[in-house]
Amino acid sequence: MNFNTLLGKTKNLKALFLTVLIVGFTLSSCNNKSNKKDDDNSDNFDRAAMLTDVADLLIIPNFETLQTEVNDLKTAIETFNTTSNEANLIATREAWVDAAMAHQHCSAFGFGPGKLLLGPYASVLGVFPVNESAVEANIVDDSFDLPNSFSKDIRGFYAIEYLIYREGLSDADIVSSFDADRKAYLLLIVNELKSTFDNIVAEWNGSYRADFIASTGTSAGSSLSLYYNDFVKDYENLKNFKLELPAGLTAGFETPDPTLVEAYYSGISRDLIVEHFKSCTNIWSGTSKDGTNIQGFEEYLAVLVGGPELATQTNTTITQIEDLINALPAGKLSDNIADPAIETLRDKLQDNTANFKSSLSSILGISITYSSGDGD
Amino acid sequence: MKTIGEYIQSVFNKMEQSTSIAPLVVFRIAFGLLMLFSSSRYLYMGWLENQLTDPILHFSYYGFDWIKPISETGMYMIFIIMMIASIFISLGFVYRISTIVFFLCFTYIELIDITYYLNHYYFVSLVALMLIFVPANKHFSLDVKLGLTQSIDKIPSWCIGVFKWQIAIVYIYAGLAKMNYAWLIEALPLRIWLPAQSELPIIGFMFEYDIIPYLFSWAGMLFDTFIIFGLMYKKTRLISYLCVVFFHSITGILFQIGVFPIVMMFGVLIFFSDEFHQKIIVGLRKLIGFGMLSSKNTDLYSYKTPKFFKTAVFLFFVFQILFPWRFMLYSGNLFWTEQGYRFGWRVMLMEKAGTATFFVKDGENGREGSVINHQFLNMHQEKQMAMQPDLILQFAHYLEEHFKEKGMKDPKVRVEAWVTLNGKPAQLLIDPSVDLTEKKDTWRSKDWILPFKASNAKI
Repeated sequence: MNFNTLLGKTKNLKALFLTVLIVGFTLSSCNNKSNKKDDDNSDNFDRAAMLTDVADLLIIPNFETLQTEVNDLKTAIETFNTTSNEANLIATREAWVDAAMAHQHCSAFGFGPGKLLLGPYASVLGVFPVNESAVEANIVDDSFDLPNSFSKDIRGFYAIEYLIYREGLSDADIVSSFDADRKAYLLLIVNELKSTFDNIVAEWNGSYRADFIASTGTSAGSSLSLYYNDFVKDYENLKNFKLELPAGLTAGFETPDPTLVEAYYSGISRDLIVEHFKSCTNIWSGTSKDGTNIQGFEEYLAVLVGGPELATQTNTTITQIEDLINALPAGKLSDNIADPAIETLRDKLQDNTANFKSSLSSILGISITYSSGDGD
Repeated sequence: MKTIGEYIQSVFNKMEQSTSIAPLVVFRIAFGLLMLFSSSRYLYMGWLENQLTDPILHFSYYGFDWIKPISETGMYMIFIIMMIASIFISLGFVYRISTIVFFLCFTYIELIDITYYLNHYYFVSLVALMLIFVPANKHFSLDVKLGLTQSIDKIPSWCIGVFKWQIAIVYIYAGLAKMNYAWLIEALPLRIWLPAQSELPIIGFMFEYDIIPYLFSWAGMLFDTFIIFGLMYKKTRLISYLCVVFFHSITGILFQIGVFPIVMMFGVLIFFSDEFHQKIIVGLRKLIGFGMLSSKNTDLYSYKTPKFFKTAVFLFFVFQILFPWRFMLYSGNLFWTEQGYRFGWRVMLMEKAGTATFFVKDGENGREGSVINHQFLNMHQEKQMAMQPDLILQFAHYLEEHFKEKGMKDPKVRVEAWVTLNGKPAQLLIDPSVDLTEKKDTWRSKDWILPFKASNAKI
């Protein structure tokens, strides 16, 4: 039988084959989002397991801690508003510090429930510097409507900080500055924090958790892509806005500006930087806040082309960064804003940016945008 | 032995041989519909805003920095005009004007921002350009129906040949580009890309096996290089077409490449026989109950193609064949420097990513500060810019202008660009000590690109 007749005889077979193929691929492309049982039958990395760990042992507990701290802060503020004295002011400040520290461990999770109408929650409620004059104007403006305001520098953690620390005033003066309007504004802001984090926790504990874990792909919009992108943005925010900008190391800025640091009024900027970087390394290495080892990017890299090399290199840089953070001058960052240790730390954080930002996504095969033609 | 002149003359004679118009008609109809679909999809995805009107700056094609987007309303107008032109092309209505309008609109949009460069956009532009010059409306068209042109059955073979030759160049060059060490011996970048797709239903499980990236790499190379030869002969055509459908379905599912798998699946139909296309036309006539009256297709195509025109077509393809090889005039690793990379049908060939930090120094007081890229660029632009030397240079020049406008007298711009290629540890792409404001983008080799150190490869 020659080739020609063979072809002729198999013509129908081929048509059938074609149909099967087309139907198969149409089906499989439609089913992209469907839930599929995770197969853990090979050495391939189990992304569903990683997402489960990340949701259950990192994101949800961290948000729950933040929720608790914010609720405590609200209670403290209510107590202070009822009984305005220095002791209650100090109690409020202590509650605020706890909340601000807990916020560092959540600021990277600005997707899904963490994304508010105005953007990722940290870009709405974690904004500094505070617009002092706008806050003062809002306090005396009876028609001010927080839910319908688009301003970000008059709300959130650092607006509360401004109100309860006030630069240049004694504690007694601050207590007496709290008239009814000021108390009302303070309560308004903490209520927004409370409802926001109550809601985020409720959504994570509700249906979002299952959606998050079920989306095991790597394309744009997948859970891994959202989690990864926000992690990198959060890391860059630490470098850009908590160090570089106040230290005057951004192009076009002539001199350092200490008022641009995070937590300028309380002076805990340095502690917050320590916490923030700890949160970054937790996400990178897969470590819960209490130190439990979970599945993270580091584990994922272990099974990928070029992954172990990148993990080693990143861990080396991270250790160096931790040393440099420890070497930051003690005391308020704003008092030491021109200290060369800040620039050294910034440079090292910059060195590590490529590890997190481009090398990691490249090796993991994560798509960072929806635009077609990646890699073409 | 033939002289070159005689050889060209014999090519010209072959170009003049008459052939059925049917494949060209089907090609015209499919092209118009696909472009309509692709433009609608572009608008639906919100890319007009994201890619064209929202960005603060655009990266331009060499020599085309005068191409700028207009207002959002204006861009929508251009899209609507382009979509109407697509419909008209399909219908064969005021065909010459429609093809010119489509070509201009499409190419204009394509030229706005090079970070969105795709080989396939370039392919569409070339096809649109060629459609202007062929009489694809002279059969089964509104132009015929309305008496704007005469219906014909036969056309000179070059009218179909140009599309076949162009498609052949796309595939064969894509295949040749895959003949490199990384692709064939290391199975890179597929060894990186495929495991990331292991969650796909039905086929996903495969990507957990180490052999699969090698199979796909070799199959992809063989497919691209030889598929055209399979499509050329009747005996192997159907099985080759099955391979086309299979291959483009797989790549379409695996990678973000939009509508182009479908474009190619329809495009290669032009290799099918005249009878095949006549059947499609008869089917379409029945389907829409149109054109049965006008089918007095007795006119032979008496038009003789002018010699200068045949020369132009010939030179066009000489250019198409030679231009992708210009990379050989540059030293260094092509994938690393990307000098002569574009317009060469190098499709999905490497996994490359970078982080570029720009430092702007005030030439007067020596203060240096770094740049927050995303204050100027969207994520896609930043990603594409960070690994392509000519785009890094464009952004450096933009920053120079930006800081001059802000009052800095003599800004100097340098960059630390850490780039990873195919999963290998990141290296510096650009000499970080070079002031990029002093450098110009030219055809010459860029001496400020650092060489790729292969010894760093530890895979």
